[in-house]
Parts: sequence; C-alpha cells; structure tokens
Amino acid sequence: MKRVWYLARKDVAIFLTDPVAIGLAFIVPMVMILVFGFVFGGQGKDGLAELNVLAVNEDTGPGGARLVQALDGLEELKLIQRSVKENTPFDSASASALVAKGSYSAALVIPRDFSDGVADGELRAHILEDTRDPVTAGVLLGLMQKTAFETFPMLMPSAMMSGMLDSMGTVGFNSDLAKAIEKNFGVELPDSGMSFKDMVPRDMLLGDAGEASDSGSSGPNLGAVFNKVNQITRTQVVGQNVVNPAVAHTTAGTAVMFMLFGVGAIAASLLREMHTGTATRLLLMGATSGEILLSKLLYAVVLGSLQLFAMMVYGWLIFSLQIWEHLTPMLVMIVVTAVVMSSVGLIISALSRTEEQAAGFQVVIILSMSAIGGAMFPSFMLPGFIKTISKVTPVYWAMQGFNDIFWRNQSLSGILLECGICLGMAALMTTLAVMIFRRRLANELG
Amino acid sequence: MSANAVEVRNVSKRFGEVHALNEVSLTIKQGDFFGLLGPNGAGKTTLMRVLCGLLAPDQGDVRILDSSLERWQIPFAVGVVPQDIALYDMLSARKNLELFGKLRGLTGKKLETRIDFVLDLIGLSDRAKSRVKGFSGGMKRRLNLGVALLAEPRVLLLDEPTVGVDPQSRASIFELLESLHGQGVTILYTTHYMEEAERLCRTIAILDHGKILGVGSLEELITMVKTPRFVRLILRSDSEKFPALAGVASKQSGLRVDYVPTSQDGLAEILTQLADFHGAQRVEVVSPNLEMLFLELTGRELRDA
Ligand SMILES: Nc1ncnc2c1ncn2[C@@H]1O[C@H](COP(=O)(O)OP(=O)(O)O)[C@@H](O)[C@H]1O
Ligand SMILES: [Mg+2]
Repeated sequence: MKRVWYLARKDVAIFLTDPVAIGLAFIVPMVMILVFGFVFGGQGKDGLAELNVLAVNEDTGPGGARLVQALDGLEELKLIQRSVKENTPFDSASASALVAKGSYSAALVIPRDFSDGVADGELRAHILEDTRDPVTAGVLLGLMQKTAFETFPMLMPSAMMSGMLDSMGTVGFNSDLAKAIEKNFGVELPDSGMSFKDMVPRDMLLGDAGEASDSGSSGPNLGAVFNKVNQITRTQVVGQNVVNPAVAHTTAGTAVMFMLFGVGAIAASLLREMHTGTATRLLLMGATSGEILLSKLLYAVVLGSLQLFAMMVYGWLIFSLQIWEHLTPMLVMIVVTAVVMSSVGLIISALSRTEEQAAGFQVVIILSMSAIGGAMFPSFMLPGFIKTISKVTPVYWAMQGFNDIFWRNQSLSGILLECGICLGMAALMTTLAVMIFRRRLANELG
Repeated sequence: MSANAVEVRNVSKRFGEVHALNEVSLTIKQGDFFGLLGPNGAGKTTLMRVLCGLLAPDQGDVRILDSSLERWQIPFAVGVVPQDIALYDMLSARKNLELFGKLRGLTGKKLETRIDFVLDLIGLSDRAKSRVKGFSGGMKRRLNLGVALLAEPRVLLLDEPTVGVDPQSRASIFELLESLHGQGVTILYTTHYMEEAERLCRTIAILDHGKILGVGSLEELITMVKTPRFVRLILRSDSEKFPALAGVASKQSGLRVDYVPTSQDGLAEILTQLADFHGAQRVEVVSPNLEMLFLELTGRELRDA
C-alpha cells in the first residue's frame, strides 16, 4: 500500500508542474461561481470592483463615525452618505427608499446606540438590502464585520466568550418567510416530513423578512458564530419573496461540477502512462495494476478535496457562505464527495482507450450528472421523473449532503446517509474499475 | 543454482495471424553478454515481454535465475530496460529514479546512495535536478537504463537501448554495459544493428519472423557463412568502367563491384590486378559477417528487412 502513496505523490508532483492544469482546476471554477452566482443571484451591478452602498450614521457616540471612516477606507466599498441633490445626509427612511427604487442594492444603517453597543460588547447595525442582489449585501455584511472587529478589538473576546456552540440550533425560522418560499417554489416534501423551510439557507433568513425592523439591538438571530455579538439586522426592502437560496448551492454545485472535470483528468494521465510505457515500467518495478489505479484515486481525492475546499473558502469570501460554522461536516462532505467523484473518474479511465474517448465520456457524464444530479440547479427545481433518476447519480447525494449542511444546518450525524450512499457508490465503482483495468492491462500490455 | 541465468524453452506467441515467436528456445549462461539480433518485427520485444512476465506465451516456459515467473513478478535481481523511454518527462532525473527505486523496495539512505551511484554511472549527476523533458535522446536513454540499475541487477535485459542516441551516448552506454559485464552481470541485449551485436556480444542469436535462425559466438556464426571472402571495389564515379578480370565472377551494384574468387588463393591475385586501376576510390577485402549470414539464411538484408 505504500506504493499507492508513492504513485499518488508522483501524480501530484506532475500536476504541480502544470500551471495551466492548476489554473483550470482552481481559477476557472472561481470565475464560474462568480458568474453563476450573479445569474442565480440577480444582477451583478458593478461586479465586485467597487460596491456602492449607502451609509447612514445615526450614532450619537463617536463609534459610528469611526466605523464609517474605516469602511470608507476599504477598496471594495464606496460609501455614499449624502444626497447629491440636496446635499443632506441620508436617514434610514431616505436610504430605504433609494434601495427600494433600485438605485442601490444595500444600505448600512448605524443605529443611535451603536457606541453603547460596542461598550456592551455588541455590534449593532442594520442592513437594508435588495434581495435581487444578495452579493452586495453579503459583501457589505462581511466587510462590516471584519472592519468592526478590527476597529473595535474589544468586541473580539466577547465574540469568543459568547460561545459558538450554544448558538447552534437556536435559530428561529420565520414561518411567514418559509410559507412564502414554499409558495414561490411550489415545493412540498411530504415524504420526508420535512418542510421546505428547513432547506432554506440560514443566511437568507438573517433578517426579519417581514417588515423592516428598525431596532438594532433586538434583531433576530444572525450568523451563528458571532451570534450574540453581532446585533446586525438585515431588511429586505424589495423582493421580500425573492428568496435566493442559490448561494450555497451555486458554490457547492459549481465546485462539484468542476471537480468532475479535474477528476476526469486522471483518465488522461493514466492513458498517457499506458502509451508512453511508464505504466509497464511501474508494473515491472513492482507495482500492481490495482495499486496503480488506487493511486489515481488517491491523487484525485487529494486534489478534488483541495479544490472543493478552495471553492468553499471562495464562496465564503464573496458570498459569505457560512463555511466556518459548518466546518466539520463540510470537510467530511468534501472528502466524501471527492472520493465518489474520483471513482467516477476511475471508471472513465478504465473504460476509455484513447484520450479522445476519455474526453468524450467525461463531458457526457459530467454534464448529464451535473444537470440531473442537481449540481447545476437544485434538484427540487427539476421535473418529477428526473428527480427520480437523479437519485442514482453520486452528484445528487453529494449535493444533498452540502444542502443539508448549508441549508438545513445539519451536523455530522445529519449527513451520514449521504456519506454512506456516496461511499457505497464509490466502493462499487472503484471495484468495477479495478476489475476492468486489470483485464485491460493483461490484454493491452500482453 | 544452475549455470544458466535465463532459459527459454519452446516458447510460441501468436498475435492473430502473426507468429511473433515460433518455438523459440534459448539458454543464456551466467555472466554471458548475449545478443538477440533481428530486424524490426522479428519478435525481439515480444520475447523480452515474455521474459519479464508481461506477456503469457501461448506455449513453452521461461526461467530467470532459476525461478519460473509469476505474471508481472520479475525477480528483484533482474533489471529491465524497455524499448520505450519509460520516464516521467515532467519530473527530474532524480525524482524518476526515486519513484522507481521506492517501488522496487529501496528506501532511505540505501535509496539515496543507489541513486547517487547510478546517476554517476550514467553520467547525469550534474543534471539530476533537471526535468527529463529537456534531455537529449541520449540522456533519456541513459536514464532509462539507469532505472534498471537501481536494484543492483545480476541479470539485465535490454531492449534496443541505443535507438535514437548520439554516437557519444552510444559509446558511453557500451562502456557502461561492458563494465557491468566485467563485474559479472549477465546481459541480454536486443538490437537490429549488426555492428552492435558484433562489437558487444559474446553469444549472438539471430531472430527473424519469430524463429531463431542461429546461435553461437561471433566466430561460430561466421563459420556458418557460405560466401567466401571477396574483394570489393568502390568506383570513383559511375562514369568509370570497372575492369573485367579473367576467370573471376564480378557483380556490380551502383558504385560497388564485388569480385568473388573461385578459391581463397585468388584473393591476392585479384588485388594485384586491381592495383593498376585508377578509377577506384577504395579496394577492400570483405570477410564473412553476420550481415551475410542473415542474407543467406533469409534471402533478405538485415538493414532493409
Ligand atoms: N500486442 C500486439 N498485437 C498484435 N501484434 C503484435 C503485438 N506485439 C507485437 N506484434 C507483432 O509481432 C511481431 C513481433 O513484434 P516485436 O516483438 O515488437 O518485434 P521487434 O521488437 O523485434 O521489432 C510484429 O509483427 C508485430 O507487429
Ligand atoms: Mg522491439
């Protein structure tokens, strides 16, 4: 088995010599996530170059001004505090009106008691947002939190103390919102006894989705980690019903899809080894055909896991995907997904005789699986019969796993079923691939 | 342990209609430098693959160092140099050696020493850290050979190890193989170059269409040649007319004119008569060689077979 490790390390080393391959594995999916994120998440406005957001500082103390100043210093944000026409500072009413009109996607309202809040170890703020563009509000939220913790370091210990654990599972879902989503998507899940609201990503429920709440200190539950410290509320000023569960899905789905592309590359590397005679030499030097194939699996799993993880971090950076809150189950799901997708790559490798064949298989399998399995669109959006078919694809179960984690807030025990099914599929495909490959080596090298 | 390093008994292998090996039997003694000479398609590589256990013969069996082979289980003491350059282009010479050495079961200090030793042997110490991709054909060939030397083989199987190399690399490969032979390593060397077989090998087998046509030392094989020594005249230009000699058969092809005497005593006579001819670029006595043997045995020339 040590040989599997040596062989896999060789493939990693070869991969690292190929900047184009690295780019395709890591950069392209990032761009795609961004694109899909905007497609599913509304217009991109000015992209991420510089986001224009409104800022209203109602703080009676000095803290608000410091926060505004710090935020204004950021490259990513442009804070607009005064109306150009009237040359007066905005208040929350005028800001809300502008967001409602669609002139801006988000507004930051710093409440009167902001400085008091900081003194109490609480970060109180209010974000007015247009749900059609969750990106801007998400970025604003992320930057605001980061900046606040930097500007007011005394918030940090409080954040730590407040305990990450006890904040888990205390999220109160807004039932009105859930109904709205159910109505909007026309989804019912009677068989699982689970309401659709369970599937809504929590970050979409950050705010009181009903009416605007103007109280900064008594907002509903927010992000999980800084739950008690972050007294930030978000109000969906327009499109209260346009709930966008796409962020988590887009990130995970695109990542899974592109991982399949990367994993398909193992077919190419295997074929190259067979054609150049290095595979023969590996056999002559003591490796077995099974070891060669398993090393490809290991290589693909390592690479795929890194790729998935990188995409998740990326999702966190640009869409505030809640990866740190779900770190353990997410990491487990990443590795499990990498294992099952890699075994798909292994089957492709074992079946194709030329690189062209491999590329063909790869495209067909990847696209069909991604479409049917729900990597491209959430599977609940698919028509009924496809929903049934999709259950035979590993992509479906991988996506279920990620959805469970990010939408339904499941811990490790909540994704055991998906993990089990994925690993079972992986075991089946790997065994099959090894059998086919062994026969093939006997025929082709012999 | 018997005195034979390699025994091939009655091995046949067919690919469809092609008889790649046709009842081949060979014995290679310990310490021999054994050449397998044959044109392209003769079956050399097929025999090598049977010997390595990569290919199961249709009939017959092989033994190396007294062990019969399990499939894909070549004994540790056997080094194999495949006909293809089987290296990872994107990795350095050292990394290639490291990978194959580890697979062969070498680790730690022992592996490092062996790698350094082999790199020195094949003259690539100063290029150890460079990617194979940038190597010349000769350097790749040498590294391809080096991989097989990692495990200190007592038997070395080489399949056309000098194809596509520059004369310098070829000379250094020859030198290396001769020194290994001097240290008691048994060598099986396949080639389609007659000169290589003549220069390197103590025992030579001629293979064509999967059949062994003759085995023996160079001297023994030469005695099988029926053509006697003859005189060859190379004309300066094709406008020259070559002299006809009384009682001597002559045969022209291009600038080449061969005078074959009826008896070996006639050689000197022919040379004297040709001494006055000024249209000659060169006059030489051609002795029987493997090329002739191959021609006589197969009706074809080795180089265009
Ligand atoms: N895997 C194979 N499938 C079909 N024919 C083969 C295969 N390997 C070799 N042959 C045929 O067997 C004959 C001997 O080939 P080979 O052993 O490679 O010759 P050499 O190495 O002497 O050039 C050739 O006619 C070749 O075409
Ligand atoms: Mg050959």
